[in-house]
Amino acid sequence: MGLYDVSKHFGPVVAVDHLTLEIREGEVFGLLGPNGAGKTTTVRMICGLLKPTSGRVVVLGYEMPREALKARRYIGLLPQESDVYESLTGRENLEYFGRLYGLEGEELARRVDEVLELVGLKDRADDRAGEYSGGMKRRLMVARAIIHDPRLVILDEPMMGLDVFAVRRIRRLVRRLAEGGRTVILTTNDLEDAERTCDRVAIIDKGRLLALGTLRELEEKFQEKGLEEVFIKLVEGEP
Amino acid sequence: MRAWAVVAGKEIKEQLRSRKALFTLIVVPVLMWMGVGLMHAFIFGSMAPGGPLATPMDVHLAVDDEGPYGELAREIVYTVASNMNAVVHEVSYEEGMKLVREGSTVLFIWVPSNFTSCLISNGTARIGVWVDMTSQRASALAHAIVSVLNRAVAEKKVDAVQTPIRKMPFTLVMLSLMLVMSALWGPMPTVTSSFAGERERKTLEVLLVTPVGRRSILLGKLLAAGFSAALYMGSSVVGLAIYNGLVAWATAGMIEELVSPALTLREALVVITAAVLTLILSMSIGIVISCFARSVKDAETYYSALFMLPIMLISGTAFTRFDELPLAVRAVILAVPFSHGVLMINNALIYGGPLSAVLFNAAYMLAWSVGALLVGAKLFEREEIVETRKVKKPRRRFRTPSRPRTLRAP
Repeated sequence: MGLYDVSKHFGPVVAVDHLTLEIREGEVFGLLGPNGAGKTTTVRMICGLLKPTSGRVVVLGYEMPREALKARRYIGLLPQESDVYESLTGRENLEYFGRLYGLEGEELARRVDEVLELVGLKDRADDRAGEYSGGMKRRLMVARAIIHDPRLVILDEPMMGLDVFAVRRIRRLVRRLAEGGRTVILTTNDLEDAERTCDRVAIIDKGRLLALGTLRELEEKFQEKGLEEVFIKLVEGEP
Repeated sequence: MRAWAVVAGKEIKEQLRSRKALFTLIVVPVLMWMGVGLMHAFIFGSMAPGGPLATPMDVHLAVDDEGPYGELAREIVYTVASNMNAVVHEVSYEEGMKLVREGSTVLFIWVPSNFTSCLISNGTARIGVWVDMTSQRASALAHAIVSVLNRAVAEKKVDAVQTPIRKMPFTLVMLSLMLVMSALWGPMPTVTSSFAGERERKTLEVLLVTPVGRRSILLGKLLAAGFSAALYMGSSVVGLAIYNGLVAWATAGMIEELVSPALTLREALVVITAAVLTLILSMSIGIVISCFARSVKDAETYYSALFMLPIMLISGTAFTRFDELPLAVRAVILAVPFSHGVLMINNALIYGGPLSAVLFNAAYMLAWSVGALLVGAKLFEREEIVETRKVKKPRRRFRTPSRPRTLRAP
């Protein structure tokens, strides 16, 4: 999938500025940038929720947003700001979204059990989601994003509000998805997280691409040690 | 500064910064009372003979008595009618009765040929009065004519034998008004929380990323709102039955010409149909509101503001004959879709309107419902449904920035 010379304007504000990215199948791709860099807008264009002002977005061979309905069958999204239906149980939340993705019967039940196990919520599956802690809700949202076993999983700040155990669980889950051939896009502010989890990263700021590559490639190119140093050098060096 | 003052200061600052709150608190009451004032000015002004809004009312008179008291009665009818902005048309008794049977007059007064002789010989005489009880003006005029006539004949007495052309079922009027009003408010909690609630809970984005078309989501939401509305209507019908029983019991033995306390099955069906159509209408318009409101609170604010004025208008249509209203008021009432629930009940059950008028009321409400849903579907397709920033390019008014600003804030 890729974004080709994509821009997105909101009136006079340029949220994404001539961004070109190609993401390979089966990789964990980190989309990094400070707050307001354009990460969420980019994710929304990938999902077909926003139409680029110019440029092309192609996801799994589908032109977005024109073919969004076809592509969405294979996309799972965890938005940065999201919540769960608190009056439904954890299981009912997942069943609802599973049905919207076309799952039913035994397949749905099996899949719900699988993802509950993956995020460690099986014991509390039949409790109302309103009774969950913040971290449990976030894990339920991750489960919701992968309920239909999507080929492309987009996790926008998935570790937000999670404790160290839950973070470790989600990291493992992300690696497992990639090993299973799934493509994962991870947007995060947490550079340690990106360093540990991502195969390649893109650093964007003010809607523009500043750097793209593996950690080693970026270290070599910018003569810095570690992603944090590279990031600070690039973002602070921005006009 | 005291803690309570700090809290109050912050709250007031927030209120003053909210355009919606200011609109609801300041503009809506002014608009509402201005609208009601205009309507009442038109309604009451139409009755004032010399007023700028005077609207004459036609009444009919047949005087078969050629004696002095017959002539006196004629003069009194003309004088009182003129004072109350009514135009008297003299007809024969047969012509008058034909008008009464057709329901083409609101007041017909007949002075029989033995009126003078009876008054002279017995000290008492009768006149026939056929009055449309649904017309407040006609009822008031009939009452005034009989009073003045009795004062004029001094120690003698004139009995008015009054027959209603149409009855005035006060309970039905009240009932229709209340049922239609509750149909307006009933679906508010479900409808306002449909999309605005999803957005507030931050579940809308993830719902929109599913491979489900937006129209399907809209339809699902509408069906869910319909379900709660059906529950609401079901409860209202049960309440209606209880109401009917209570009123029938309490008013047993009252004069039938004035009051029809209990609804017949036909009346109940018309009332319920009108309420269901109003319910569908308010749900459809509520969905549109929910599509562009950013939060449930916003949606409720818009809903309240939008529905308040029609309710005031409806209250005017409920107690006044529609065809007695001035043309401008009628045009405004006809344009507002919510008025048609009450008009439908009035036309079908109270004023004896033709079937075409009743069907027009129903069709108008349905057309608005469909139109609102189409608008809702269009609104739901917009990017603004997930993006709070304006997507359209703003008009360039003063200067063009040399380079677009870049985004910093989330």
